Amino acid sequence: MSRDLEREYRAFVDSEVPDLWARIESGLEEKKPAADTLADTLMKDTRDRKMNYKVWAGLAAACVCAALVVPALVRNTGMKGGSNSAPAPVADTAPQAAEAYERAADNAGKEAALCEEAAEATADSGMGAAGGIQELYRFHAAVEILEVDVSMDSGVLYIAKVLSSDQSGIEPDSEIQIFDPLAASEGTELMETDQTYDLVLSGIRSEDPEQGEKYLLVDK
Amino acid sequence: MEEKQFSACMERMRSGDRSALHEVYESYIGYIYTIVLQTVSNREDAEDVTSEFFMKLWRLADTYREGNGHRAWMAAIARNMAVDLLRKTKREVLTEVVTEDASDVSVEKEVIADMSLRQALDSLKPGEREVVHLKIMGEMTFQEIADILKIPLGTVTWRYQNAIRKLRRCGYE
Repeated sequence: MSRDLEREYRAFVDSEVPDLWARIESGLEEKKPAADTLADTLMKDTRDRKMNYKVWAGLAAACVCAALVVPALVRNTGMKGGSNSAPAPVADTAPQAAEAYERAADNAGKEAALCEEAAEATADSGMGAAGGIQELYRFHAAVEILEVDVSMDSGVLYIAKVLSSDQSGIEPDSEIQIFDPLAASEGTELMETDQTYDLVLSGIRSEDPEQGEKYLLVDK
Repeated sequence: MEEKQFSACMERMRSGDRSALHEVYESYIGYIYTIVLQTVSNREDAEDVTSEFFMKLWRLADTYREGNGHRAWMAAIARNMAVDLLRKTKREVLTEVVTEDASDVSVEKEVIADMSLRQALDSLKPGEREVVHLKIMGEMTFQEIADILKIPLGTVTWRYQNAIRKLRRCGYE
């Protein structure tokens, strides 16, 4: 007698399962409009700050342009008829002004990107909520994973022991918390306890010492 | 449930459609519950974790991105949640020691007639049941199972072959 294992197994599993739907449904959160969520609020703040940076960068660039171009123009008009020497200073200063503008805009973009990264990191890990974000930096560290906390929705929090690090202030044998936002995505492999990994981490120093050492996983 | 169907359900969940979660629940409650039960070995805890799993899935819909293999993805989340519970309660040893003992041989030699599937499954070791479940209900490759259970590929195939051998003795093909 040969019985179909797959078919019977599926039927067996279905017959063994309790009805949990009422319980699940009662525990579901109402889906709020996207802008009301904490992450989106943080992202909105970041966008606002990004916009502010751009405004300030634009103003700074305009000032630099004015500082370089206006004296040249004044000199030019002040000479009244000195047509031989007037165009030269303008021609010299225009590229400098353009470069200064580019530098200012580039710096503004970098700051905004860092700010955005920090906001993403804080969205679920609790970082920065009370302490405020002060400084962002990246470093390499070899760590041993001690605990894995998968209870958060948008990532996994690891507690790890530092084996070595190229960042001053992060001592070997100290314990740190590492937040991996990508671990919430499908197909992402989690780190395992008691295993060692070489990681690229992004650090956020908090004003609040009680927040402890928490880092964002950038790359494995 | 096909990959596209699942993605469509997650998309609907994102906009707050509870019937989409119910469809996923209907399709996968047995699959998820059994994975959790095989890890926590306690029906009450398994019901808690399974309920939490579907609530988490509802929330994860907001950030979900379509990929290949939602069954493996869900299995990994469910198993991690179960393992997390075990860590918190510290009631059980997490790693199972794989031993090949004489009982396997004796099962092989037993003449087993008309045995119920429950009895047949009881003849399997927990690790073997886990692999059989993921293979049949999760429709996974051995490599995917190895990744989820965090054990070597060879151990997975070995457990599966053992389980199938035992189930064949009970009349299952």
